[in-house]
Amino acid sequence: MNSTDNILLEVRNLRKYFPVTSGIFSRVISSVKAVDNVSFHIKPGETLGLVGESGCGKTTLSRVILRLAEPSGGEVYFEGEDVFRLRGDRLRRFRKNVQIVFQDPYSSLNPRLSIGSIIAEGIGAHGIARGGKKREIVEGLLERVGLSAGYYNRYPHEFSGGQRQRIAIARALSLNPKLIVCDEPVSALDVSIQAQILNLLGELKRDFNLSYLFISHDLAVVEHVSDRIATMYMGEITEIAGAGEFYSRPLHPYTIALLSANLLPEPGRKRRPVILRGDVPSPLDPPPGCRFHTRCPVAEDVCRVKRPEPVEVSGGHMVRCHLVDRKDPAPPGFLADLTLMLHKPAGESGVKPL
Amino acid sequence: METLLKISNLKVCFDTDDGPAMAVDGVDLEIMKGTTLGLVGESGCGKSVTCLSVLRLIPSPPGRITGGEILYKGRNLLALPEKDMERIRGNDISMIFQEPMTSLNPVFTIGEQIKEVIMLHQHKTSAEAGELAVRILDKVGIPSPAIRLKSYPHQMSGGMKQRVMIAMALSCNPEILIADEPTTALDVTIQAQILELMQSLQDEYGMSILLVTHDLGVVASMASHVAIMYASSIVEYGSVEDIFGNPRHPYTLGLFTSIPVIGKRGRALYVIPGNVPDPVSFPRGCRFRPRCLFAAEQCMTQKPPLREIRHGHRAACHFSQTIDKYVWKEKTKTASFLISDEQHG
Repeated sequence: MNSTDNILLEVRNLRKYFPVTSGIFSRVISSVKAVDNVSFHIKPGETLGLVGESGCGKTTLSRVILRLAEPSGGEVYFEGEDVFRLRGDRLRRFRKNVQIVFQDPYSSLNPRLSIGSIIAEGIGAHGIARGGKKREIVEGLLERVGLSAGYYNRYPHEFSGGQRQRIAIARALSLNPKLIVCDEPVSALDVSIQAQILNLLGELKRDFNLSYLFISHDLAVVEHVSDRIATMYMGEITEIAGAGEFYSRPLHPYTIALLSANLLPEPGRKRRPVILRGDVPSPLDPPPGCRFHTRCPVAEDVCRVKRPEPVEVSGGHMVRCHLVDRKDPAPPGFLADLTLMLHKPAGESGVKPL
Repeated sequence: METLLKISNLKVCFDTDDGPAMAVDGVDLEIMKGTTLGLVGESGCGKSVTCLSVLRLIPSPPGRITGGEILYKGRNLLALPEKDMERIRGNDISMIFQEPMTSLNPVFTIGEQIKEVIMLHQHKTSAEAGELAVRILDKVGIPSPAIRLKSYPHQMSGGMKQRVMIAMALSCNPEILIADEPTTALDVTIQAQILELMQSLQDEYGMSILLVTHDLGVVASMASHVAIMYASSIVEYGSVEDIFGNPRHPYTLGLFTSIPVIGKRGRALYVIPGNVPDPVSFPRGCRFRPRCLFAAEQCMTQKPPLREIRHGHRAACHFSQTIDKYVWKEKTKTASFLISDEQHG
């Protein structure tokens, strides 16, 4: 499957465990399973949204895929090549093809380099162009992301958060990548600036046939940009579905809880019940059985002892839950009714939104 | 409905290297008893400074309140001696901040910090305060509160710390709770819990809440009235139904159409052109003019006052009698800078 042409990135059973040590000899006493048996794929020109709460392993997952952290197990294939075996030239080519945009544009740009040098760094390092030609490329990129070419010699502190994020995007684009990992690219920005960046990312995707792995905790943003969406909880993928299906037919209790907690800007809507009680358990001591059972409102005995395996319920819709029947998939228990409520328009007293 | 707090023509100025910055410029707000007022705006628009002014907590220098009135139960808070103000803080008006991580002192236990508040404001002994602290922690949904009193902030999660902050703010039964972005730093599922908690405490004690946020979903689900703030002034004010159902200021309309909403994937996001102006040098006339689709001659010279459009619904725009969501839709349909998201078909 990894050699098929229509899969750009394939992640198989990826694991990343961080050892927990104790005592003066740093004896390993246990491990934090930040990423645990994660599998998914991204096709060319596709955006996969990855949602989850803080600490669920989203960022670690992206770092392992980018080879910024060593995996504890599993494989990642990029265009059919095993990423963890790449060396030398082929690794360099991989690095050129996969770029990242970080969350905080205030710490991801070197304050001592000019904007021009920041964007040109990769172009020089990969020997794509030099001198005047290099400058020409950088100026073109600046204009492409909506900044003036005249900013070449200016420094990061002279720019606002939104402009800095554009600079970070120009840097990611400079090597003409196929996949860009966007790790919370709009979380640090104001709403009006957020719209600019989301629209820009959309345009670039179209113009360059880019693929994105789009990581965010904001369900509305993820739904807006993604073709498919995955939810992650305590290092595991709990559900993957096409964006339309994810919203209209969610199956995993965690997905339904997230959708229910997402507040729509429509007053008069009946207050949704708060489904999830308590906090995410400590990753040092993950619960046995299903990782989610301690917070799951419909958990049964089987969930407390046996870990669910991912099940494909329909084309491309994967869910990891004991209580979802493969043949007749429906949200478990009372969540089925709640799911219907998610789509009901605001009541009569409600306000028709813009 | 009884007006509990009335802010009129509040002005706050900060001295900066580039000159005086008007962080709050002529803000009028009212908070009714037992209701929630949502104060919405982007960073730097003056939301937090407005809140801090109510408690007279503006760091001075560089800041100073240069004008206006804040009437609480008939008394002007801005004219009170510091000693009286100390009694108002905590007892009558409390505040919770955005970052529960940085607003608790890391070297004291949760118990010591809550007890300090109770002992200071209610003149209780340490033992009495301890009992009260246990009860209030239980109230805000912290499991095994007696044990938790001995915890340090770093031993708690973000959601738990925000519960502790709420417990501290509520320990003296305030009439008004000022909540400055109380859930912004929290995950959505934790946010849902905290909002539910605030709502149930309001139902029980009948306190008023001034809820500052940039999240329109949070406002829609919590507030009865909404004020939209832009460039140090209120640009629109009304009931939550008025603001969400019939917005009349171009900034409000722009804000609402620039956020992605679940279930409306195909919709293009409107982009408010340009950037928020610098409070050291606001544009002349209407401050939203350089970014406004409807800007006209008049907007260059006259700053529009906050005027009533319909009963209780006010907007600060020369044309708010004619601009509404239908006019807006028509206008943005033809505007060339509106980048449509064709990727969704």
